[in-house]
Amino acid sequence: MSTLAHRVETMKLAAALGVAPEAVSMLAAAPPESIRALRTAYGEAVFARHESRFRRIAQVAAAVPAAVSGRIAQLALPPALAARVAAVMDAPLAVRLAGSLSLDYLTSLSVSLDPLRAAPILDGIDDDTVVAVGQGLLARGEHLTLGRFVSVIKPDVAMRVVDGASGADLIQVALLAEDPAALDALIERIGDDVLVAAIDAAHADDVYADALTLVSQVSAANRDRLVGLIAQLDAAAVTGYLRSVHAHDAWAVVLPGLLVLDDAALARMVNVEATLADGVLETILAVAAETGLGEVATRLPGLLDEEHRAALAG
Amino acid sequence: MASKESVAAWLGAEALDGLDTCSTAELDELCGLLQAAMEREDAAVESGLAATLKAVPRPLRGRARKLLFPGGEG
Repeated sequence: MSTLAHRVETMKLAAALGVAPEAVSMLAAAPPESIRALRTAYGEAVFARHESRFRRIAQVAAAVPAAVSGRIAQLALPPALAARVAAVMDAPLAVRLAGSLSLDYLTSLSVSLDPLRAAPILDGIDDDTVVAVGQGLLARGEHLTLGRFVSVIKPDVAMRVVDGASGADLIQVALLAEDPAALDALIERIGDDVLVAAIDAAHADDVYADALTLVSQVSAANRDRLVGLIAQLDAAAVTGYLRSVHAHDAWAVVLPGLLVLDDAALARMVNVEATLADGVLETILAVAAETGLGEVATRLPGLLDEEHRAALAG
Repeated sequence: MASKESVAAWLGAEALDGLDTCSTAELDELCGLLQAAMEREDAAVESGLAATLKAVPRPLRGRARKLLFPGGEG
């Protein structure tokens, strides 16, 4: 799954540097964990370089009434800088200050807020404001920011943020989630109809890799649920997903989920055009053998239709 | 010419071993990106400090100046 993880980390690094993902193409061969380490190191370096200045601004904010500091911030500080200042403030002061900022400014500020440094502040801000900011981010298409925030806000609040989100939005937020545990908590709370809409959106936009990345990042239980939902799509969608699985060499991720399907669903899933391509069925069986999923070898051949049996034999 | 060690040292990171995959030219390009991003941050911080002082109500400005520019550079 290195290609999918690589894609996500590239997007995150590019966003941190304020450039388009293509600008960091020199890291095409770098492992995703190295790209993540580079992003973390850059973030720490920027913060360390100016921490004393952020603290001085925070001292000014502490020296005047919250309403005045709110006015100063909105007049003088770009939201990105305000986010860094917030990260060094005492949480109670930052919470008071947040209460004096406009929702629009707060939403802009949250794009640059480091969720880990800001976790105590987010804890203190009332849920309705967090939801309003989250929905503002959603409306602006700030999926990357939301992906970071679902890791630090309460799962129920995260659910309220994505309530009503389109399938396409939802899949983007999910695949950019920083913390797999938070992603799982969110997926568990999302109904099948919404997940199907998200998976359908990936199909409609021909971005199967997004849905596949999602499958690769969740727990076994959620993976099985997502694979089960994919299996219910029409043959064109299923073939799109399976082509993507093959192209990303991701059979090891998907096969355990396929085994949970009953025979009828599994047969419907594997008897599609994608698995007729040269070497696909052989690869499935080889990966199953490598990953100790012998059940694939016993179940799959018996479920193949004539055309697929011929492809496997040929 | 950049190396993975010089990129790591510039960022104050311990090591960035995964950058082995980059050529010297690619590391130079990466350094350029990091440097440009850092310069944008520097500029935003400097102008933010000055703008903060300007935005502070006049009666509080003397105290704010001392906090923001303890060396008197503001």
